[in-house]
Amino acid sequence: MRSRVISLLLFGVLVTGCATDPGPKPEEEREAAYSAVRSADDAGAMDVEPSIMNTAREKLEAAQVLIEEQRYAEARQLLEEATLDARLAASRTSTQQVRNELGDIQASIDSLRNNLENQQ
Amino acid sequence: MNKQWFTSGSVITLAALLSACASAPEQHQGMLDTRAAYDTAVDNPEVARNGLSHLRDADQALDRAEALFEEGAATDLIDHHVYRANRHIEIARENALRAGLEEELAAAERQRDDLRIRIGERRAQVAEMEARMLREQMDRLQAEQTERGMVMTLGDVLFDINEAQLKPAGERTVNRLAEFMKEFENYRVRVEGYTDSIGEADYNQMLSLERAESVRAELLAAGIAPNRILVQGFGEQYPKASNNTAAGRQENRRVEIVISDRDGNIGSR
Repeated sequence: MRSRVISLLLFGVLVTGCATDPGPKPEEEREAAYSAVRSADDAGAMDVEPSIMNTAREKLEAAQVLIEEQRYAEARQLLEEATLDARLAASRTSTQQVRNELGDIQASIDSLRNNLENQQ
Repeated sequence: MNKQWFTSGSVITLAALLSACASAPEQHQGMLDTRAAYDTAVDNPEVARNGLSHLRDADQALDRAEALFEEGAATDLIDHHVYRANRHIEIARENALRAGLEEELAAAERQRDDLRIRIGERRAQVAEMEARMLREQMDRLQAEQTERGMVMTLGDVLFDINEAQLKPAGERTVNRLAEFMKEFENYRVRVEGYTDSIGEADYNQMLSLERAESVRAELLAAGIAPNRILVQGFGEQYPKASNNTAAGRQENRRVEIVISDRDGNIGSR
């Protein structure tokens, strides 16, 4: 009786460890990933970090296939990764925008300085 | 019997699942590197300040990866959490980098605004100085404000009697005007001759024009460009005073020089 309980417990632990049950569909993760990629796209991330953006998109597509095969756990991982890929790309895009603005202002400072010197 | 079946079944299952989950390697280099990167990021005050929530997420993902590694979980799953941790660390670092640039940007904007203000002040100073110099010059020319603009009058005494020729005193006055015109290059003048009503109107008309012409010749000799000088003879027209008295007639015999505005526009009669 005791060994039966132990074997059942062991079985349970291992089944959760490398699950075969498809579990819940990663709806939230899917929504989050698509929205992260979309907003990165809107911010112009494709121009700044094209390779990260492509990676994120490939993961979205792969996740879609996995969902159709009911391989939800794997799909969830890809979606979570795609979300973070897109967020990194968006973050780098914002940084690039600040860098560009800084460049513009530096240029106008230079021209104002020249202006001031020429007035003297 | 039942008990026996379960026991042997569980052993088989255990073996199958263990092989499926593959034996864990002794260390996971990517995980160790990411933990090291996390430690460096946390120690950086900029990153810690600007990327706190991402660092927390990175730490949790790493904890998860480390726990899975201890349990001997699938490499894929460990890799996934290590990947997440890495991304969070990168985002935290990126946010810190951007915050630094934003500070630089704010400083640059202040510097630019300051320069603009200084240039504005300098321009106002220059404009004010020019206006003051102009007023002083007009005072020196003894120009008076009229409806036509600033007008300087050369009296009859500056010309030879009944002649167009300027006397030396008249030449000096005209040269002061020339100096002014050299300094303020946008200004133009119209030289207008007038006489009293004694004598033939035609003669007076001619004399008034000739006197105006001789002023122009003096300005040209001083180097003023011809297109900046207009000339007109009004003869007996527009007397300033009565032609019935000698004093009035003398006042009417004159040359008036109308000075344009700063854009070169001259008011006319």
